[in-house]
Amino acid sequence: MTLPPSYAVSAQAETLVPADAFLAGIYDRSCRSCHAYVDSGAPLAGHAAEWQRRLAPGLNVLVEHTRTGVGSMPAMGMCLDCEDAAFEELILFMATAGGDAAEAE
Amino acid sequence: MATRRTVLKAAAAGAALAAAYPVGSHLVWSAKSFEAPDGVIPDLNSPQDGGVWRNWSGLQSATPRQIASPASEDELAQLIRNTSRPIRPVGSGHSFTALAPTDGMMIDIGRLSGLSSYDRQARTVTIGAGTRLEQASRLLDDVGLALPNLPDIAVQTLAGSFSTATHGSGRDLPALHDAITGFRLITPQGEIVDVTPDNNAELFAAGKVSLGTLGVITQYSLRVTDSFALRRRVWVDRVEDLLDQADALSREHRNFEFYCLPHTGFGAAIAHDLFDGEPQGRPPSEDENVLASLRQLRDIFGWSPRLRRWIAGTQLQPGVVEDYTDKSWRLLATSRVSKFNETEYHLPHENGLAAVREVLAKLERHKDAFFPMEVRFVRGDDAWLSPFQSASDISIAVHTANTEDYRYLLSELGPVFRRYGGRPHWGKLHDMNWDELNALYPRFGDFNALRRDLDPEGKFMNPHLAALFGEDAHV
Repeated sequence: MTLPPSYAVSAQAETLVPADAFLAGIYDRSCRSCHAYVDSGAPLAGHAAEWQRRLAPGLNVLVEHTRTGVGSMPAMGMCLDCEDAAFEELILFMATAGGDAAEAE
Repeated sequence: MATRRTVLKAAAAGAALAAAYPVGSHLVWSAKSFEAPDGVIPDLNSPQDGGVWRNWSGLQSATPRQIASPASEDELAQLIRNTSRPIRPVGSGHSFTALAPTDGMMIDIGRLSGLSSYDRQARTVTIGAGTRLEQASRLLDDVGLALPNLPDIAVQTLAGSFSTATHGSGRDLPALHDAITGFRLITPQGEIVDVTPDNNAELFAAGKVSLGTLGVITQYSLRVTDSFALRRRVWVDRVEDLLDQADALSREHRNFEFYCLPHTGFGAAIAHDLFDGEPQGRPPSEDENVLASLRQLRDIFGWSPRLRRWIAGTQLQPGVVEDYTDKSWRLLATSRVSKFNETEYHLPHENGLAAVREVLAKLERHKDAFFPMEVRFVRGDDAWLSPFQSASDISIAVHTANTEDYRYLLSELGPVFRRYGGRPHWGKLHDMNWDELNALYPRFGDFNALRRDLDPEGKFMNPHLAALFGEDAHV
């Protein structure tokens, strides 16, 4: 189960994009359809509390989940060409982006 | 404007009543497993290495020798030229049929995404075929444009949704592929061809819905609309009343659809109409909670259809449960949380509502059934393999949870759909083959001839497609 995000976190999630252009391209075409919208049930970009909980077993576990699929997310998280390094960076982006809204929660 | 009322809260009442009815059949039901028998559904928890592909529901899988994600059309063309069969293009994996699997090469065009150009005045865009519907909607909205309609799910690629005749609801609105005014195709020989109704009318009519059998489409030119807002209203009503009113409601609203909630006697109607004011937005969807309550009602009271219906009647009250305004794309499509398998057929309008009643009756012979059955309205169009044939087809979709037995969708509901002249959704479970399809589609033979002409070696065939097109299955 995903922790319910606050309104501020939900609203902010729709606007967050990685600063790095390469990552932003992947995020925009593969991740954003779910991780920016609360109705998807996916952990939202910038929902720090939820990502902190998920990251507890280690980043490598989340990367493995991305490769094999987890919950509603299909294997490879809709990026069939992604390397583990890209998954790591995208997960860390979603976990740490938009700190202000997360703190206000 | 914003209204939300809980549709169904079965949990508390259910638990209390279950405790009060400790009868034998209930105890047997409580011990029952709803999971499909061994071998029907692939083991969804089995470890898999990164090379194994699965569709979203987990029903279809493949171990291709390569999954290629070319970064450009030239790279893709070269790849196709230099690769022996079989090759299959793959989108987001949202087809439940085995359109994508191959042990050869799967081509993912996810990198060919994004808006290439747009003309705000002419309301036309050129856009990468690997763009997902959510991304396409967002990019169009940024420049004041919108797709005229959307399906329920927003994560499919344009190529995947167009090529399977994916659709929304609205009796005057055709399926998504009718927005196509041209496309760029990499043929099975690796040639790059721009196709329009003017330069190749036959390939254009064939290619709009082509199941990824004519090569790989890399970009589309689309006729779109100015961005627009909608008012969404959802209400609960007795299913009999909804069926009586459905035809009239489909004429009154821009987008109208309804769900029949099996074993409850109730349904939910969803209407979207153009909204001129400043949209207010919507709170998070309650759909998953409703689905969980319906499942719980099944789990606890499924042994007694009468008791289940009575409990549902105490919980479901006719009336409006949602009333929101928002941008069109934010209301029409979402991504889905609970995974399912699904069949869907499109029926000529005059047969459609009679078929809904019969399919619902068949579905309710299964005490396990709990997923809402979806009924939509779609205008016909002229793509050769478009399953939409009448002025306003009626689409009936039936789902099962992705871990539960889906086979009755084919064996028991399939014959009803056939009797009413239904054509299957290409991406949803069906077991029609060449003989039946050729009889149902006036241009099926023409499509196949054109396909063979473009792909004489069957480079883009797999066993599922071979059955559809009457080819040797050993491909």
